[in-house]
Amino acid sequence: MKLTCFLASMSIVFSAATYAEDADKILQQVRDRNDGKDYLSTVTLRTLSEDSVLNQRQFYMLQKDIEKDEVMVLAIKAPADVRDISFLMRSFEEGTAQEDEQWMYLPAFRKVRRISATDKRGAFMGSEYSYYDLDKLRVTDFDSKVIKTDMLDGVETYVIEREPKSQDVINKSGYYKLVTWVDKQRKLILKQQYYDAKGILFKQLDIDKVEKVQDIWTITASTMSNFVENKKSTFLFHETLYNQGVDDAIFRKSKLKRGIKDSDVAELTKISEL
Amino acid sequence: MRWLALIVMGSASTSSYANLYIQPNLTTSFGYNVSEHYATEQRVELATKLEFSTENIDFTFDGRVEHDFVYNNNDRFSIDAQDQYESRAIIEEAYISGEISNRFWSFGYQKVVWGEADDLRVVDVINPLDYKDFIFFDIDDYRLAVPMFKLDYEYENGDTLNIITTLQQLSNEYPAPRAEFGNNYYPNSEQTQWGKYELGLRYSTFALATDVSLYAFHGYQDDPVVTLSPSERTLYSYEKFSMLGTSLSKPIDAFVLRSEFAYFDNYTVNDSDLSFKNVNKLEALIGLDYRYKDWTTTLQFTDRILNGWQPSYLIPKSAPIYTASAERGFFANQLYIRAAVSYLDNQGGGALSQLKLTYKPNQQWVLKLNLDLIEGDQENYLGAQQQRDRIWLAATYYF
Repeated sequence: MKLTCFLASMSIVFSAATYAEDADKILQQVRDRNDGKDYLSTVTLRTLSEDSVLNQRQFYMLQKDIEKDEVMVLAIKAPADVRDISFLMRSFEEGTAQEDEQWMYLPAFRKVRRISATDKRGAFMGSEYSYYDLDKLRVTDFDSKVIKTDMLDGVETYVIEREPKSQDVINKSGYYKLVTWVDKQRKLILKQQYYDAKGILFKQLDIDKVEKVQDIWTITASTMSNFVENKKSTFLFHETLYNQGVDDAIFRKSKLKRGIKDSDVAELTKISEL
Repeated sequence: MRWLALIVMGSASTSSYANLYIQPNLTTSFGYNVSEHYATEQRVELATKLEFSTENIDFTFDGRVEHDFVYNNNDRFSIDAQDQYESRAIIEEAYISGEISNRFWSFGYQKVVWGEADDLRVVDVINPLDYKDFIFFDIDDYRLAVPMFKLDYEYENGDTLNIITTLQQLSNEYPAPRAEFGNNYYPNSEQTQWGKYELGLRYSTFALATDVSLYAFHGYQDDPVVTLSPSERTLYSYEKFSMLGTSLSKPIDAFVLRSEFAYFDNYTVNDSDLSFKNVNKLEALIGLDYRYKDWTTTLQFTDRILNGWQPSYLIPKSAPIYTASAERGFFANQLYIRAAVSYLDNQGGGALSQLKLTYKPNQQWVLKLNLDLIEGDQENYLGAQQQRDRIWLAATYYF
């Protein structure tokens, strides 16, 4: 009997370890999936409270892998009062101790300002997406396990529960637990739930549309719902293009100051209008 | 409505194009002195931004025309103040720019900001200021554009070298006596002179996760030194000086440390007998930003040392300034709040407390409310304005 119990408990331990390993492996596949050498898109970010629009921004988003780091530029084009505010973010390879780097250009001050990247809980452009939500998926910051498989709108998914490994991760992200639905085939996150310190579900990400762009599965619409404040923000990605040969020089502070212009993007895309 | 016109000058495949962006806006603003209870501003402003880009050259224009009805039949303000501020046309920027293999050039009326400080100036010496509204607005709102040629060279590693030559010497602009902020600081002292060149160099690099810039400048002081003519008339003179400086910013956990340091050589000040004295000036600033969720808070301290300062000099020995601010957006950034306090710790002390609210009900309208309160000793630069507490309201419509 004792032997049976021992074997049963060993089996549970072994099974949990295998699941944890599987979860990290799955998430690593999501992180490493082919998303091109570079990426550019024109984006609409809209925040609504019930049906009234609180805030809408249009901006260019450009990303590139430079060696093992990922750099991203966001440059607002509308509305007029915030035009040319832009952000430059550099994320280092996961596992390195190096903190992310962030700068913001405010045209009103004509100055590129360094921003601390240790607290990413702030609202991105006033939306329900935080700065942390814009980061590339981080695998090693969380203890993850596959808790089940699930069908989500006809798509087979792994459901993975993720808990921050340290207080630093909580302080940076503001999340105490994540539950993530990963598309088994396409290795995309299709849904994510966010829990606070009391274990209450307060935010949910839903992927509204996935399209194949240049043979790469691409999220072209997503919604972040905040259940506490009863608000939601939608990202709509238009004219997304991969591998356009975006120059490293676009991702420099000096370029932020000169501005990412319509002509820069037109040159890259041969698309002439935002 | 956003006005974006596109002129296709060739086929898409040749990527030859011209792009015109025009964004006009109309602002009406109202100022009221809450200490002495009178209107200080009833202004209407029409402004526009224009950008015209071709494949090789860009043209940027930002300017406005304004009329202030507060001066109509108003005995509180002087004729000089009315002449100075009733109707104005202001060029915020107007320049052409282009790129030739990692060299970015621009020519025309421009504003260049040096350094890492917020609303304080240490190495920020290129553009003079317009003190019509004292120091109540953000500093870039009252910075004056200067005609200049600017060349930015970008090295392969991302370091940049900026070379600036200004073509016209412009001084700070002070309000005429009996304007809202009229006082005895250099009235009618403005000077503009073509052909008095200034030269500025900045080298920026990134090392040890720190943004570092080095600066060198040779040019004219923005404030005059004063002397009297044989007929006892006040004469203003804008003397040359040189500056070497550095600035850095570095994140430390949730903080960002900012600092500036500058050495001014051959800086001219007045003695009490209105003779000129050359001194060397050291000026430094340290600032700390802290982000917590949606809050951004800053603390700054700056001071200066005049080498060989004498009690008879007309400027105080030191000018320690402390500033603190906190800001954040609410309701999806429809409402933005900034509160700031500045304290100038010399000549009896003086403090400026500010509250700035910005509300954006939709994409077309921006509404602003500023409250500026001053207290301190009459001898103090801030305290001297203590009867000028003000509430200021503005509504801007973007077409």
